[in-house]
Amino acid sequence: MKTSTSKANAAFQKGLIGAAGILAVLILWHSLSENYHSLILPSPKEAYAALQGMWQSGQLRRHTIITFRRTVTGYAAALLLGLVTALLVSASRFLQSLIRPLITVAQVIPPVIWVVLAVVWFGIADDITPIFLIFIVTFPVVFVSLFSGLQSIDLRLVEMAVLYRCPKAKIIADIYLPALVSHFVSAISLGLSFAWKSTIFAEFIGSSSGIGFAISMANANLETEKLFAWAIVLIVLMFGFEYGILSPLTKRVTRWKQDGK
Amino acid sequence: MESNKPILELNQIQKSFRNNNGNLRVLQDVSFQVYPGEIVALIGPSGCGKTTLLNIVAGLTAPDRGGLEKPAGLRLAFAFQEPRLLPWKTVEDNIRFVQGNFLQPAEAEEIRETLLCGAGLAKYKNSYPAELSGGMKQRLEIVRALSVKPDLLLMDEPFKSLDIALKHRLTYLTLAEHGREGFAVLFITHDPEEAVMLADRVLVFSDKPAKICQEITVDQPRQERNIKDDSIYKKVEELLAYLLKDLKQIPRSNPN
Repeated sequence: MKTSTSKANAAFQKGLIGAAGILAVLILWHSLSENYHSLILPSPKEAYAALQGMWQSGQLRRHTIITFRRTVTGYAAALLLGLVTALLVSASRFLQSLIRPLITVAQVIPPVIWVVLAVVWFGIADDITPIFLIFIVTFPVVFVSLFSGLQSIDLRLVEMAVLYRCPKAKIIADIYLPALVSHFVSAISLGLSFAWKSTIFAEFIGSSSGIGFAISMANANLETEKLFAWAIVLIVLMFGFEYGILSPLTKRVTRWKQDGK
Repeated sequence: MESNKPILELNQIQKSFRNNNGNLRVLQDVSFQVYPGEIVALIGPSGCGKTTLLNIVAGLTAPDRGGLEKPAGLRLAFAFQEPRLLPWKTVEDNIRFVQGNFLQPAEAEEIRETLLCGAGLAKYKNSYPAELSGGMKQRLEIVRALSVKPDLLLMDEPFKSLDIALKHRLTYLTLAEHGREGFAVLFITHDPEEAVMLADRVLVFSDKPAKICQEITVDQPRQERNIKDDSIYKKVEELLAYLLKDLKQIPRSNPN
């Protein structure tokens, strides 16, 4: 009981410090904006007004849903294929030698090249260009994380299970999968910010809808306050994902890692 | 207690490992038998290959040469030196994980409760290994091995990291189970007293390449053994003499 109260206190304190940091940035932003034209640095108030306008016109919802859908599609594909590839590659030395260098190549090519290529190949396509970019950027991240997760599985545990005559299915379900699940969740977390950024970037250059496209429109029309408004939307989305979904999920699947003392 | 047919028979087992200087021979013509219900202790210098031998018996390591005979379907249990617990399973589920392969749920549960109680772990049955101390993990490792009603229990320095009270408690638990179930035990120890107090036979190993250089039989019934008895203490001294023999040889083996 005592420890849980002090834990809650520590969490509260952490939250308070974090909030203070955000507040400080807002104050700094506000005071700086008084010295500049709103074209260069709109005030927080103007950004908020823009946000309200976007909400009322339905733009906010429409573009956010589109971006969200693309991110989820592209990222889910990368996660699934990353998992399958990691499983295949760790099972075969030949595939390991074949695929690892290719993954490194995919990782070092800057996203801008991929997005330009995607525009050349698919045109200013509504969905394919962003989804392709998310996939190509996040797949290596997911693969590497899962592959190293698979490599780190403790084979001494498997030996123990074999000695006690556990069937293969049980070894997979009770040793390989739990070991992998925690790596899988951390891979999701790791790749997610890449996924968001890729979607926005691809939409900015090669799409006619989504948040990235809305940002490019705001940019073209010199509506700087809208840029800030979209930035706020993205920040809120990322926070929501991280603290609303991923953090609790990570906690849940790695419950056993927490030292209870 | 003993029947004539061994449940484990090793014939001239040899094993080498490759290292930087070529082949390192760890086991040299190791032969012995273990009979049903028998407790056999393996004692010898650190790193002489006793663990490798236990791994060979368990089927985790293949010998280079020699024969290993076990009856088909022999139920093995192994209390490893470093506990091999599933970190994502609770204390109880770690035991259940191995019991499920051998026992009906009702029987398994009864055994589990008894053993967890006996080892002083009943309170922790819903804890994860990360929440346990090193000694508690070691106890769980032993409990798990006992929980499958083995025919042959292998233990690698099972009581090493336990304090004296817990060591007695776990020894008592293991012996009580042994008395009831009558399984055979093959265990590694560095403690001559422990070997003589627990084992029917003590096999003394030489340094690498390990071979059996002495076999000491303790005939007295286990319940009647007392470390203060002359006959028992003589055996301990005998063992000590073998284990310390190499100490005297150091000046001779290093002439420079």
